[in-house]
Amino acid sequence: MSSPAPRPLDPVQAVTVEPEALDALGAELTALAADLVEDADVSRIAAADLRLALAGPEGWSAGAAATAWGSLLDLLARQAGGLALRLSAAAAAYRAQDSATAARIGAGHAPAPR
Amino acid sequence: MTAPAPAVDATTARLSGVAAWEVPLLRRAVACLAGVAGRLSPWRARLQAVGRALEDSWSGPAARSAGGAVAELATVAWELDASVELSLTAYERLLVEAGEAQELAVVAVAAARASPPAVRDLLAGSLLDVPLLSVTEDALVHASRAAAAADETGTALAGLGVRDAFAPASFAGLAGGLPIVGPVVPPPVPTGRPPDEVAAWWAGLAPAAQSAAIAVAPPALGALDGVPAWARDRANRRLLDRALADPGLPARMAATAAAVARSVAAEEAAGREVQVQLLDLAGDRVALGLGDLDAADAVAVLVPGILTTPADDLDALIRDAAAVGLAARAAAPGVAVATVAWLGYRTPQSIPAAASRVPAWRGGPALASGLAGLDAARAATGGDPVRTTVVAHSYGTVVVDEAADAPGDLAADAVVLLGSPGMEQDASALEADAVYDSGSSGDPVAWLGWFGRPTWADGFGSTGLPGDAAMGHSDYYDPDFPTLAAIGEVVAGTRPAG
Repeated sequence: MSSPAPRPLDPVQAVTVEPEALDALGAELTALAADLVEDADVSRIAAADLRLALAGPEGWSAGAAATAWGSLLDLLARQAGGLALRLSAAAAAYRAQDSATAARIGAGHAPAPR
Repeated sequence: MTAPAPAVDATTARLSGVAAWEVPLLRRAVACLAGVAGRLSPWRARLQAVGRALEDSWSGPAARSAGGAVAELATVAWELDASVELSLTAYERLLVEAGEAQELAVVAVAAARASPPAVRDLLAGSLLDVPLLSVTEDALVHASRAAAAADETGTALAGLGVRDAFAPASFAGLAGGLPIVGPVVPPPVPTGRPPDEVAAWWAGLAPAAQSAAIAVAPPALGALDGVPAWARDRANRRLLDRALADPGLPARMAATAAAVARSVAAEEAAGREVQVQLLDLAGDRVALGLGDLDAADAVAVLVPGILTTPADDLDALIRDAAAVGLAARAAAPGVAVATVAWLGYRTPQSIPAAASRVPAWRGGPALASGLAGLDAARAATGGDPVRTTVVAHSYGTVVVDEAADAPGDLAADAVVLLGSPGMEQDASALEADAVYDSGSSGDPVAWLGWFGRPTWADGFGSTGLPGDAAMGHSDYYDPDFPTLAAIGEVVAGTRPAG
């Protein structure tokens, strides 16, 4: 009687991770967040210029919309920055878990007599 | 009867206010906002690249959660990009209308303050050969249009939850108001359109629509010039998986599919990135990219000559492409290089067939379109321009000749002609900034002149690359000879022309 063929690993359940890659992606997300923060500032400066350039309701409307640009970009930047932190934390957690597992396995392994 | 003084006062006050508008400052502010809007598209492209890299480096429940969060951010960014573009259009209209209004208002206000003869002089001296009343009315009309445009800068953001200039307080509030979740109708794929139109179409799709297009139309999308390399790769890998799983596939097509699968597996096992850019099994045409074509600073497209087929010769062509990539990196270590093993035409399969231009007539336009697609995909997402070099060998140089004859300029910065059997015209006809050649005295094909003047002849106008008399027709990519290193310098952009 032959033994049953091994079942393929369910890709939904498989866990693989490259912590260095997660760190790199976290760094890229941090950079992306920084770029948006910069552009949010540019939008707010433009908003102030618009209010100065167009006295009256036109200046208020145009300036307010540019301020909203800045607020929206800030929201995206904060989300990107938060994701960056979560990726870096995940990489650190996987490394810590691997170290702890390695320590436990090592603790149960008695060295051979010399 | 009394004059309507309050209305006149209001008009005067309005005109004075408009005349005081500072149009240069307005122009500067709108230019700043245009810059912000223009940077959103490349920002989204980088974010989507993070999402794809995440899929490659992490799997499991936590990875799916993180991938979902990145996808949500990408979708919100796409919605924001679209709304900001609308808002920017309103700003640009505001700038035009405010400029017109201010110029007219200055004249109207000055005229109203001046004596009648001075008014005539003022109007005659201005570009406005119209009565004062009309100037005033026109100023007010343009000011009114400016006011409407100013309002539209904000209403364009209403879909993002912006109310009375206030954005949502949190990302969750922003995302919650958008139609992110729901069925996605795959967009119709625009086949038969020029690469720049295709690239613009793709760049305008929401991330979910892009995924849907890849899922439902891989044959069309995988061969569509102007679509980014990553998306073509995904579409063509779907085709490859289907082909490999199809027991009824004709033997020749199955052999080509197997060859592509072997090459992809071998490259990836060695830790190198591969992008399947073309998988036309029925037409026996294949193109594989080594490296990231969407992000590379320099791209080399290798066009082979006769008796080359995907099933039999893809491995060898990939070795050549890898060798050119190595040489380019050696020439400029800081430059990100990608290369393409381009078998996008059916090469002549006999010596008599190689004496005909017919295969080149078919391959030339395909090469021209592929090069234009590389360029267009990059431009549509606001990415940095790429330096593109076509490296053609033997009959492949005839294909380049025909590619240059296709409508529009050849989208290549440099062309390298290796062992060419002759070109129809001189180097300038190839439409590239620089044309280089190598035709070894030990290569009989370079002396044939079957298709026109030899590339090494005086007057052709190319820059000769170093060679060796011992080099035969198949030795141009051999690292033991000096031509390969020189090709690398051309690809990297460090070798001067002329």
